[in-house]
Amino acid sequence: MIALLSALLLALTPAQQARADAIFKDIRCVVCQNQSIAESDAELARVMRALVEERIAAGDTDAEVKAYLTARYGEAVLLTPTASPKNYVLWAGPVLALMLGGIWAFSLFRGSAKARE
Amino acid sequence: MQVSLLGTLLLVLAAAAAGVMAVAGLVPSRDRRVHAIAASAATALLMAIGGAFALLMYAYSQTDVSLLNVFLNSNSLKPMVYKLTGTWGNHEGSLLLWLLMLAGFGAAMAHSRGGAPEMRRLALGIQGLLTLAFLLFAILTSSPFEPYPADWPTPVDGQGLNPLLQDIGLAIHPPTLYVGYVGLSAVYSFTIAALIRGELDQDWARAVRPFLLFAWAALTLGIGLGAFWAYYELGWGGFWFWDPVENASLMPWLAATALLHCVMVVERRDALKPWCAALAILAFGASLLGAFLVRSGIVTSVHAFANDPERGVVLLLLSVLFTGGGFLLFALRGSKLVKNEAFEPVSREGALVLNNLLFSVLLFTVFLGTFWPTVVEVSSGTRISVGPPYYNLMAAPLTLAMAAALAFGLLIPWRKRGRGAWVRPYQLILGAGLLLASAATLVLGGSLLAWIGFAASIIVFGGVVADLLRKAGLPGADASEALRRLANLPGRSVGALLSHLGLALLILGVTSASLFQTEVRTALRPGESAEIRNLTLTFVSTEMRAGRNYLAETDRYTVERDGKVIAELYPSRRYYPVADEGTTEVAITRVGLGNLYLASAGIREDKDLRMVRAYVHPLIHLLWSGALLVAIGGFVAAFSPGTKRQQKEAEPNAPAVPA
Repeated sequence: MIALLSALLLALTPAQQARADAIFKDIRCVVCQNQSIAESDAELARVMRALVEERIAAGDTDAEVKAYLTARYGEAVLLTPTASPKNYVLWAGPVLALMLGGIWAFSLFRGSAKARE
Repeated sequence: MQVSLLGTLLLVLAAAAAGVMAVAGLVPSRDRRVHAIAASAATALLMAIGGAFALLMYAYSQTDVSLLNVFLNSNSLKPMVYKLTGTWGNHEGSLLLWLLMLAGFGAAMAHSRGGAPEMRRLALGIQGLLTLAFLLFAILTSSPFEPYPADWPTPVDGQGLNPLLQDIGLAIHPPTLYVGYVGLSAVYSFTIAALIRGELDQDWARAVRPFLLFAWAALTLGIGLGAFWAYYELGWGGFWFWDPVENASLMPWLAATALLHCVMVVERRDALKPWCAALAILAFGASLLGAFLVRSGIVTSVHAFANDPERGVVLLLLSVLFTGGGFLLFALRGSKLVKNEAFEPVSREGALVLNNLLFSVLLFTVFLGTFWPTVVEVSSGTRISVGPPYYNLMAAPLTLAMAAALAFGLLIPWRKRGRGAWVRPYQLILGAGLLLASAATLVLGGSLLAWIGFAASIIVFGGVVADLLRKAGLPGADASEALRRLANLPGRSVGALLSHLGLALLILGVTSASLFQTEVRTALRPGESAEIRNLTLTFVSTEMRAGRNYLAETDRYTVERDGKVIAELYPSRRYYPVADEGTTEVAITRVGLGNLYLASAGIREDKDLRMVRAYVHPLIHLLWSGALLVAIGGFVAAFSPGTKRQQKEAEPNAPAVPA
């Protein structure tokens, strides 16, 4: 626990701290329901924040930090879903819906234009 | 035993009334007396369920532990207000509240005016059927009037309530949402009736409008209260997490928003009718999903206080049945509704189609994000999360497009191109929006999301102002003439104005409070300070305080600006002995139009050390007041008389529009 507290007070440059803060917002606190580790007071969220800061201090890139957390806690820690094949529908769905809907709206106007002639 | 018996009797009577209402509403008959029977049954139904609800509330006020429901969910030490609100803080009680509202809207439908008599009778029948189904479910599986088992030890006092639920926000937020959800049942019933008759016309629109607007306004208020509660009570420093249950309340709101704009088109044009019918079924389906998803255990969330998988799944099936039945009828009869009236894209109806398109896409996005993790988990076993970054990314561009469509729709008249009078003001609004947003984003150092938020807010505001000027006949009319015109605006125009103005404030508040928040996270001992923006926060001391039914460890903080103390804050950690549970209470103080938000947590290893999270949320009060204004606009429009006959004819705005 003492080690944990000292890890919390780890010296990061302001730029590194900003990166850590941004990552906090994108990581789910795995014992809380629907909170990021930036927002949670839970013990584990503190541990996870310390882990992120530790990895950043050790020179990891953002992607490496996230990969490290994913390996440790599972993919559910990422609040932004990955762009992997199983999530294609998730990412492309809204765009496709907008296109199909646009075609529908267009047909509405065209159909009515015909009806008017 | 007496209370239990009386309550059960009232529920059985209610089921009988609902049965009569359903049969009298749905039998093929032209007799006016049959209609009168259905209407009387609706009144009787309301009285029976109202009596049952009052009885349960009375039992809660007395902490009458002869009822199992009271024993399990209440305690005589609770403050009276939470005893009363505890009536619906559990599965059985909330179901009774749900039934009370179903019956209330049924009675309102029976006594409302407008709409063809045949459609209204059929609608009453459907509403009766809905109420009957949920009543039977309540009586058979979830009766709040179940007696305390005779073979259990004699009860001394109730078993308390989750302390997290002892909060006034939580006491009023679910019932408000319920009014919205159940209000959409009236819209559903009228729509099914219209589908059965094969005619969805101005009559339907007139009958549905007040219920839809009222339900929509209540939903707006309920969602706003939910966000407010999360912000003040849950203590994580935000107001919206795109949590599955939050999404479940947002989905019917999105569908209802699209629908109420769609109804405007049906009121004036022979177009979009099948689409409107589908939206109405979808909106109520989404409401049922929203109300019962909480209990199904299919998604977990902070809100799942009434988690009860088995009965929850039955409720979900019931919901699927009514939604599926509606869509089946739609598939069979929807084609009868198709009318092909001429439709100009560059017209107000064109703007409303765009509105519907954008809201539907957003609805679909929220749906996808909410259920995709379940799909992935079932198909591949991997657990994934879909969190705020996804939704924000998807919703932001849609919001900007909606704002552009809104200003466009407000400026352009129905049917025709309006001789291009709208083009200049519209260009001005768009130009001003994009320029001012760029300036603000540059000065404040914001992101692309911030730019989108600013632009959307300014464009909506510009649209509202331009609409107001046009309605006042400005520029051109003199001041007294302009005032006279504004004073004579129909209620529904005033409502739309308020709601759209509220939307502009809401977007600005959300953008500012979430993207420009300042956050400080540090550890403090007594006497130590932290700086946040221009404020100095000092941890002074800790003391124990006793509340009505809890103990609180309260920290005292002072807030200084320019060396002067402007506020004292008392975040605390409460312990409820009866429930053996604790809660964390944040402390919040208003600074200008924003808030200083302080959470102070203790840690086990060091009694004096506080883990402090402090936030400044600029302009967050614009968010709350904006949401309130959106809801008020809805209520104003709901209670204003419908458009006059002449306004239904061509060119509804003709008298008000200067050439």
